[in-house]
Amino acid sequence: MPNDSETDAALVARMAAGDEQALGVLYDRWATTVHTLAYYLLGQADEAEDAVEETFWQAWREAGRYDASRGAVSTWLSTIARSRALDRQRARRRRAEEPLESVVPSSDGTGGVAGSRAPAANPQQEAEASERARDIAAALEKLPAEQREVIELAYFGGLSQSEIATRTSLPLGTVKTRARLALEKLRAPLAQHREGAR
Amino acid sequence: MSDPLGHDVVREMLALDALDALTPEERAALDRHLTTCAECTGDLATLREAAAAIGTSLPPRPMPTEREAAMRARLLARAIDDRAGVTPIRRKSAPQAGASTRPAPARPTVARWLAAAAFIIAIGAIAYDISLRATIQRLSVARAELRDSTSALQRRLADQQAILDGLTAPGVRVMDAGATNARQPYGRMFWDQPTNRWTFVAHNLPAAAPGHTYQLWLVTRDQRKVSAGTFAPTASGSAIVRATYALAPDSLAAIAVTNEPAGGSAQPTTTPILVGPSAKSD
Repeated sequence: MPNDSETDAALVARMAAGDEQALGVLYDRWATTVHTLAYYLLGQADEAEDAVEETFWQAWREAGRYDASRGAVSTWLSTIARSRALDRQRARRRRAEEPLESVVPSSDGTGGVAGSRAPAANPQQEAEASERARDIAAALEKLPAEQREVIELAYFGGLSQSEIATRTSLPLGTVKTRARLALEKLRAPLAQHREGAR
Repeated sequence: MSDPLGHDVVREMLALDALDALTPEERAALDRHLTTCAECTGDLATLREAAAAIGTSLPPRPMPTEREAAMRARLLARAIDDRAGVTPIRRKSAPQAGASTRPAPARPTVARWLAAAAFIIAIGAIAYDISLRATIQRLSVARAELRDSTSALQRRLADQQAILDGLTAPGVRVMDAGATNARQPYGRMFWDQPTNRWTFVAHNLPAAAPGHTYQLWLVTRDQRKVSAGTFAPTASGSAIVRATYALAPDSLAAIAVTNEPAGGSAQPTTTPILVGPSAKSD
């Protein structure tokens, strides 16, 4: 029986063994985070919710392939969610049938928004996750505009490095460098949180 | 396995891989290197974590509670179905009547007939149990779908009401945005200041160029350009864009609509096709 202190990785292991209750607990912890990302990328409630359901269903089906050495469960879920949402975003562009009402997120639309998300197993983890989210948002805000532009086009726009180079009229090498510099700056607060957790 | 790229080249590509911005060919070449380079593998894991953190740092936007619960029930019902389909349900047989450690008699006895009957009854009970569980799951899914449908209708109604409120509330300020070219598209922004809701209505907009979209901006007095979202007009050139954004009453300088690459831009990159003056009280 899953409990509140069970780690995400342990839940995914249970899912791989066919324990649907573990899926429920993982969903309770991460549904809002996944929905936030999907909604931010799609701007439409129905599509965002479909992407959320697809994300957790994919997580259930592929739980056995989760590899902790490649990142935390939250990273894995975010990657799936972003991928599912971007698929929908691209399909929508192909169909060119944006609906009349384009409901947009309440943020400033640049990705560098201050806020927090605290999905976690218990209040202490919740507080840590919330603080971590705030620190990342702050690090995003501090990025130079040209670095932020590159990672936003990649992360939120789903553009490839070549497309980013075309869009920004930058050489590929510059795109690579800016992406790396930006992610390294975001990586720093994450490392600090890891150290603090030890 | 050959490594056509080499360590230094791959290292430069890792951040873009973490952002999923490589082509399949580039990814395949990178993967070949990763199989032999622990340093790059570790580096990529932490860069992926950093990229994913972008998504987890956004201001939370939970689903409506009922819809979240309905989705949970649906997912669990699907998972149960899935598990049942992939792994046959295994149950222990019911204890056989008369079972003992003694050797079985050579010929059928009353006890053996009773045991066989008990076994058949047990199989029947298991089959009935499976059937009953399947029925319960179907009903659970149907109930979730019904809640879904009701919630969708309620949400649509709430959306319509929100539009109405955004246009008619006492605190609404209205600003018009006219065209800067001869095509004369026209837009009007309704800013419900007490609730920070923005409703933008536009007409006569031409279709955005392929690969492009319209983007609505709030321009503040200190020249910040805040995106209020991307949108595409209908075939007749109309659009409604709704957003929620807190802005001090006297800090808005203008509204503008620009043509941006699909997905929108962090800042306007083209001359506005619609631009509106500072808000005036209605």
